[in-house]
Amino acid sequence: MAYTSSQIVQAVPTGINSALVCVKAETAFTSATSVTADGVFTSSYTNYLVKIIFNTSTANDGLMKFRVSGVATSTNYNRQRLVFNSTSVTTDQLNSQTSINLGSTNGAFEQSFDLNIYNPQIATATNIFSLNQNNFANYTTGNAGVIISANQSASTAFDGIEFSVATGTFTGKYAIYGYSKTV
Amino acid sequence: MALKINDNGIDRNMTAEEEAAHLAWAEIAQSEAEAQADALALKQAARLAVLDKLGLTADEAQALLG
Repeated sequence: MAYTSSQIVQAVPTGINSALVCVKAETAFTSATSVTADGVFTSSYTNYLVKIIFNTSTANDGLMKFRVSGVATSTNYNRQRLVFNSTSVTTDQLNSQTSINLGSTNGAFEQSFDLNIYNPQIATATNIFSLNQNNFANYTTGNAGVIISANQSASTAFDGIEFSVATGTFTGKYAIYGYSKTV
Repeated sequence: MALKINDNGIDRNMTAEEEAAHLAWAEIAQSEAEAQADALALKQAARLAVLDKLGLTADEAQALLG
């Protein structure tokens, strides 16, 4: 049977009509204290998704900040958190912080984050909604979920992001995606 | 030993200036984390005090609330 030209299936170029477009290729880091990604938030996208997985050299907190032209901003971070582990549910709020505390991790056990970031490149408050999977000290009973609602409340346009630990080091990988604004 | 930074995908040692800035901020971040831990501990102590008034253990309260 012969096909007409309208019946021929054509390959769609990669990236066309994708809901998520990778703006920072997966980047691995080893025994780092700080990880930076500059020039990733642009007017091409309004909202972004950061996927990051890491473990730390000691029991420690993962922290994040926004950056402008290669310089980290260390003010006006606010965070509400819900942690659920086994039958325990706890909540807490931190205001006027120098970074967003994404939660603690325990050495050998990886934790994984989906960070949704809204309007980072627009000079208004930047909101973050994060879903985290943690493993506190082990991969069985230590399995915990964390939901974070946070913001950087200043009217600042950011073009970058930084992850860091206050003590020790961390090892992992991350990638950043922009949410397509068009169909 | 110099602290390491993954600078836009490139692993390198921090400069002296970067390291000093990081250490100064890290001290504040640790204070913030300690304040958070203290607040959570106070919250937990308040919860246990209420359970004590009710004559329940934490495990019994968990069983009750599911």
